Amino acid sequence: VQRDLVQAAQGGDHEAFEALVVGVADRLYAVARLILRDTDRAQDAVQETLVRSWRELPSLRDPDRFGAWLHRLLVNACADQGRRQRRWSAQVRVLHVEPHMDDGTRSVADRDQLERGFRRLKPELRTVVVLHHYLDLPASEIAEIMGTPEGTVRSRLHYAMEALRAALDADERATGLPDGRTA
Amino acid sequence: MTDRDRGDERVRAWLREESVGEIPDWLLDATLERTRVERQRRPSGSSRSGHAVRSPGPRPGGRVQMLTVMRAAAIVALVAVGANLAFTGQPGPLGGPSGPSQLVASPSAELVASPPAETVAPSAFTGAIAFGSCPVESTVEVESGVLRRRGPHYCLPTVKVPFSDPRLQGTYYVWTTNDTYAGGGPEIWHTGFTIVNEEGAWRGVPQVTFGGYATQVLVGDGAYAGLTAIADVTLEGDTWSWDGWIIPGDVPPAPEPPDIAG
Repeated sequence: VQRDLVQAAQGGDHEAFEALVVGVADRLYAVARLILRDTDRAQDAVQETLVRSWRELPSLRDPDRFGAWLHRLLVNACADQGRRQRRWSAQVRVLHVEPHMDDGTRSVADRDQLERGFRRLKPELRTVVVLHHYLDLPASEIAEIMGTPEGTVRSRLHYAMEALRAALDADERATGLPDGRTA
Repeated sequence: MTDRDRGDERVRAWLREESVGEIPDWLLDATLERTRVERQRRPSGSSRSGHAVRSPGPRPGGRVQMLTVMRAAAIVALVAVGANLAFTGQPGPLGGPSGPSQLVASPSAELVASPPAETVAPSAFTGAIAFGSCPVESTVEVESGVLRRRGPHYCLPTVKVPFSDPRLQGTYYVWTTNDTYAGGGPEIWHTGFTIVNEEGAWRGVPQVTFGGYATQVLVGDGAYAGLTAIADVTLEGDTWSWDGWIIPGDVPPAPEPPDIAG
């Protein structure tokens, strides 16, 4: 069905494009928020992605690759947002982190450490983590999306996860409790 | 399960928690509104790249020019039908003295400048756009404590709140130069906007500002020839909020400086 919609949208059928967008917009928004850690910029990135996808859709050769192609546009839009953010303003707006219900397996401190550790990562490292651990994409597909060699993806992922584990370990050392559990 | 696996699982769980939330309806609506007026790029058989971003300059093709010619012809025809029908004591569009006596006093000059009576009513609009991406970036140099942003440059703002007047919907462009003075000095921007859609364009006249506020003037082109958009534009965070009018004709001419002896 998606292939049919993509082909129709490639031919200029805006209703088909709308159907495609409704099916993917929430996931794109989630990915952008995770990478950018900023709601406003995530909104800008998603809009830019969707507008560009409409414009460039006729140039997509394989309709079955629509998902990967769209993620590539999103990753580029997030990178643009990151660059523009540094260019226009030195002020970094922090995404408000809503308190979560404790599910009994992770503490607030655990999430806080992850948040801090994640923010410290460079955008390209965050992107690799989100694509692999949130979208469950293999390194080969991430490499295609990001336009980098697969080995680079693997090394970035390794480095990023080491940094996040170190952040969690630091939290555990601070609390003295295994796995970040609260008493 | 190893420590490494447990760490990975905690990262995965955290990402899932942090990703909760749907895209706002207004954002989806604004995006689809924008794509409705966007033209798709068709791959051509030439060697040109299909990924060049459309320039904010004059649009290729003769459609806009043809619309301009047709519009001008329509205005001339209406003028020929009768001047009195076009001006029946309507008040002036924006401020200043108005009234039938002044309009009738110089009919020939007024007739050429104004479209038909039923289309001349000023129309208010609002909307909001945010920075967006910048396909062509300016150069930045620091000289004597002043950061100077110069050169060919433009960005493609995204829509935060769709413009209430459909004539102002389309692809948005913003281009700037900027001087930022060190030591808490002013940050001075020279900013212009252009809006392009299927029917024509609104070409901005760049304005200087050192705060978050400016009055922007955009001159209509194509189907909007003979119209001007003027708006108070306020910058908050990364969003420009527009509150303005589309008016027939131009803004008032710059005043003549008084003859003041030094």
